[in-house]
This record gives sequence, structure tokens and C-alpha cells, in this order.
Amino acid sequence: MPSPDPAEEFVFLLARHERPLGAYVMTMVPHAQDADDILQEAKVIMWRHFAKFEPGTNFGAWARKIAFHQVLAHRKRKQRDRLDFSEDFLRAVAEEADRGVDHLEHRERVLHDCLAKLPADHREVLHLRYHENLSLEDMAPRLDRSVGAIYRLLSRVRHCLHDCVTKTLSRPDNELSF
Amino acid sequence: MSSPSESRDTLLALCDRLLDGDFTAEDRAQLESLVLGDPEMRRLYVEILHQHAALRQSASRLGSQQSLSDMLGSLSEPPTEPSNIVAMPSPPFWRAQIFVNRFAPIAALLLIGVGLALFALLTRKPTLATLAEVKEARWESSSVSTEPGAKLGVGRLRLAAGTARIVFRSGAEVSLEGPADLELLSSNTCFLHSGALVAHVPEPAHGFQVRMESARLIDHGTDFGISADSSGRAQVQVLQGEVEIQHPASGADLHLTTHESASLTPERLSSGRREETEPDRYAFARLEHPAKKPVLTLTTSTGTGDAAYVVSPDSRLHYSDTLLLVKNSPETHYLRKAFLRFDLSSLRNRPVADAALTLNFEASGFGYATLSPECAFVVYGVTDDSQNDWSAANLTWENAPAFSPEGGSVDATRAIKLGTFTMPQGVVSGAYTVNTPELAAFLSRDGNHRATLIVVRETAVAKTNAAVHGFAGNRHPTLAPPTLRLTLAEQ
Repeated sequence: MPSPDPAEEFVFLLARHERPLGAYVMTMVPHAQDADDILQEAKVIMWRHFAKFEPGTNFGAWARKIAFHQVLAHRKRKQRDRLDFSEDFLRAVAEEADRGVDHLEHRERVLHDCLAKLPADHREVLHLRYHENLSLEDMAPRLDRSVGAIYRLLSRVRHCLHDCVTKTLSRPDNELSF
Repeated sequence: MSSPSESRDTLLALCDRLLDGDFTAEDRAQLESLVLGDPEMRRLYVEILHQHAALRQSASRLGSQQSLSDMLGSLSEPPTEPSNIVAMPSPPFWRAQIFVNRFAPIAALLLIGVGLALFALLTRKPTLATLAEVKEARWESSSVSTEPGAKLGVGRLRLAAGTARIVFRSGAEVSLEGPADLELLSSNTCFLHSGALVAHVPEPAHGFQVRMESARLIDHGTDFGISADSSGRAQVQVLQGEVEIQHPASGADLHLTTHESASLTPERLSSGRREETEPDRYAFARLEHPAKKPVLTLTTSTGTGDAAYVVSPDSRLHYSDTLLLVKNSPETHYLRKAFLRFDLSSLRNRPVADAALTLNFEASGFGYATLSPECAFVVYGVTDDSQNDWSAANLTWENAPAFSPEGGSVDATRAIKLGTFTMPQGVVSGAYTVNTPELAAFLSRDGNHRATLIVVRETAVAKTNAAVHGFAGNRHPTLAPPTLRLTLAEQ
């Protein structure tokens, strides 16, 4: 068997794993820009050390290990902040996200179905928040609602989606349920 | 100790503040103690944060199968200014200069991903498949988009040459090999009208169907190849796994496994046997024409052939001694026209059944390909035999055959349109072929063993910086001159 071109192999694996890896980082670093930076750094490290990756072994697990180190490195590098999570907390969350990787991927698939069933005002608030990347303050005039009302609406949508996914997954036939 | 449901409510409220509100140091301490102290809470926290990430990724990230925007459907228009979208790939990754070279192929592939995400954000039609990759592809009029990365709905893909990889929403992957004509019917079904494809069907897409004129193939977890034609004949090779072929006309229902193959006609489905050699995709065509028909290949450099181009008097001088230049602009019309003469004496007056003219284009160096739109070219045949005696040495704008004083276009009383071809936007090189009955008929009725063809660019480009197209003439060092491949009719 001719060995495949490593760059091609890397891109192939990365394409498959980049999304879950990005989500993994965000469970520890909810701040979007920081999470993106960490993911990019992790990808550079992964490529640099790709020769050490054993083909056929779990690329996702390998990538998560590197990404976790980048999360810690990022935390060390930046100015300490009273809001920063402790290393113990990060470790516990990383372990949980690592263990639940299949479960979370499952949830994400069902999430898409649940999204489609949302009422229009719920979808609109998600569109503005996640697609247009607006802050709650910027959303207020667009929706003609107060920041507090939008905050409560987003909270409701978030819980509603989480419940929908949980309930759907708990049914034997995975039929959509709200 | 608080009750489980209290802890849950507290955790959800903390997550809300973390993601959208004012998260305080006290909140952090409380969140940490909840998450570290209770596996249930740890799980809930990860689920909520993961959902947050998934929502964000659906809206803006690479490789999403279904974008948030698709799902949000009939909402207000997505932002039209592209800045949000173009900003996606984070620069720091590419700024690391040492890596630039090694990352070049990766960058290219990631850009394809960016293209996908872009399309996901901008298109709303139900998507059945994605045009993941194209290689050296040329398209005939297709009813769906043929841009790499395009999201494909129901429609026909007509690939003239090259290959195109199509990934169905089900996960099934099809590599289409031109010339081929594939119709997308659903997210897991297609119709192969003609041509060849190789399919890879991963687990979730089992049940993938390829319909053909005379049969349907149902995948049961495979890699397989099919070659089909429009009259209902086809060959199927299973590379790995198992497929089922249903052939309604004969009532046959056949299961094939690894290394087995089958051939189909409208009437019959013949079972496969183990094939050690590569599939012979043109076996049918040979069966149909057992007696080899005489084929002739002529170029403009054989016999009394010649090739030249002319320049309109008022245009700026561009000169190429290896390429024949063609250009057109709306103000002055055909600024460059190419003339080809073929020596037909070796035909010995036998009628031509099929004729194909091939021109080998190459970048002329004049103008920018990027600024050129999709360009249509027309091949005319000069019907006035008295005008066949031109030579490259003395051909001018005004003494050229079928010259029309009106803007220099082609005089319709002394030339007829034989065929057209189209070059995609931004493309200035490659082999282009005109293969029409009109061309065969024109060559058949020639009276003096010579035929003059005129090649013009029909698309007029106003931009002065757009490319001047050029194809190899008789003096090109490596590319073949204009070539006619003729199949002679049976005597």
C-alpha cells in the first residue's frame, strides 16, 4: 500500500473532526473569539506533530488532547482574571466532554430537527444572536424588545431546545417531541 | 444541600449569565462547585455549552451539512454584506509564515470548505447534494450550479469532460466521469442518463439508488462503478460490498458482491462473473459497430491546409506567432478572427458521417482571464468556394473570406454557422471541440477539396483588460494545430 500524502490525510481527518473539536473547546472557553484562537493554535500544533499521530487510532481523541493543552496554555498566557475557570474545573469539563463525545454528536444531530420546529420568534432571536452575531443590546431595537426580555427569551429558547433534544433521544424511535 | 431540581435551575441560570449576561466571580465559584460536585450537573453543563457551540457553528462554520440559515428558512434575509462571512477563516493560522508552503494544499482545501459554508449561508433551496470537488471539469448546459462547493438541488449535471465529486446529503459519494449526464432526484437517489460513475456509500447512506434507463441499482453498503448509456445498456462492477440490481423488463433481481459484475441491456440482465481485468466501458460501442469505420484525422498543417488570424484595422497591435487570436468587443465587433483551411483531398469525395473540430487554447498573455466572462465561440464554414484560396501570408481583415463591412462580422450569405462552444468564466486554456451534424454535412458537400472555417468569439467583452483568447496554429511548438477528426460514411 502506498502511504497517502500526509497533508491530504490531515485535511481529510481535520475536515471530519474540526466541528466537534471546536465545540469541545467552547465547553471550556465559551468566549467565541478566544475559542477560535485556541482552535487555530491547536490545528497548527496538530499539523506540526501529525507525524506522531498513529494512523488508524482515534484522531478525535488525539486532537482533543492537543486542544486541551492549548486551552491550558491560553489560560496561562493571558492576564489572570477573576472570572477564569480553575484548572480543576477545566479538567473535569474536558473529561466529561471527552467521555460524552458520541452522545454530544447525537444531540447535535437531533438539535437540527428541533430547531426546525421552533416557533418563528424563537428562530428569529437565534438568527440574530448566532448568525448575525449581535449583542443583546443591538438586538433590542431590531426586535423592539428590552434587553431583559431578550435575555429571558434566549434563556427560554436554550432550555426549550435542550429539553427537546433530551426528550427526543429518550424515545425509542427518536421521534421529534416538544 | 439543595434538591436536584433546584441545582438544575441554578445551573441553567448560571449558564445563561455565562453566555448572555453578566457573569460574576461569585457565579464562577458557584458554577465550579456545582459542576465539580455532581456528575449530573457536569453533564448538563457540557450539554448546554455544547449546544451553544453547535448553534454558533451551524450559523457560521466550515463543513456544516445543514446551516442554521437553511433551517431558519423563511426568516428575514441573511446579512447581504459579505464581511461577516468572509471573515470566517481566522488569520493567525495562515500568518505563521514557516507553514505557508506546507499549508498551501490545505489552504486550498479549506477554502473549498469556506465555499461550502458560504453557499450554505446564501442558498435556501432544498439541498440534495454538494458538488464537493471538480477536476479538469468542463460542463455542458446543466440545470444546477456547477461551481465547486455548490449546493445542488433537483436537476441535471452534464459533465463534458473531467471528473466531479458529488456528496449526497445521505453521505453517499459519487465521482462522475465526463462525458456524463447525471440527474439528482433526492438526497439518496440519482439517475445516470449516460456516462460513468464510481460510488462510495458509507453506512448511513445504505439504500442509495442509482437509476438507469433500463434498471435500478440499490446499494447495500458498497463501492461500485457503473457505466451506462442513454439506450439502456450499462455495466456494473462491485468493487467492494454488495449491490442489488432490479431489471423490470426481465423481472430479474440480482445481488452482486465484491468483484462481481453485471451487464445490462434493455431486454436482459446478465449475471456477473469474477473479473480480473479492468472493466471495458466501451465494449458496447464496439459491439454496435463491429466493422471498423474509416477514420481520418486532418490538421491545418497537412496538404494545402493553412491557419491564420486577422486583426481589425482600428485595433491596437497584438501579435502572436504561435497562437491564433480571437477577440470581440461591443464597440468594434470582431477585433480578431481566426481562419482555418483543411485539405480534404484525402476524403476522395466520400461523405463524412461524423466530424469533430478540436482547438487547443492557451493563455495568450493579452489581458486578464479573471476579467473575462463566460465566452461563447462560433465556428462558421465558408460556403463560397471561390474564397478558399487565401494564404496566411497575405490574409488581411478586408480580403478574408466572408468579410462583412458591417463591423467586420461574418457575411451570412457566404458562410454558415456550424457549431458553438463555450469557455467558462476565467478560463483561457484547454482543448475545445465542436462536433455537430452541421460540420459533417458542410465537409461532405465541399466542391474543391478545401474547406475554410472561421472561428469567432461571439461574446463581446466591453472591458479592455479582459483576455484575448488564443488557440494553437500551425507554428505552435507543442500544442497540436486545429484538428478535424472525421468518420467516413459506409460505402
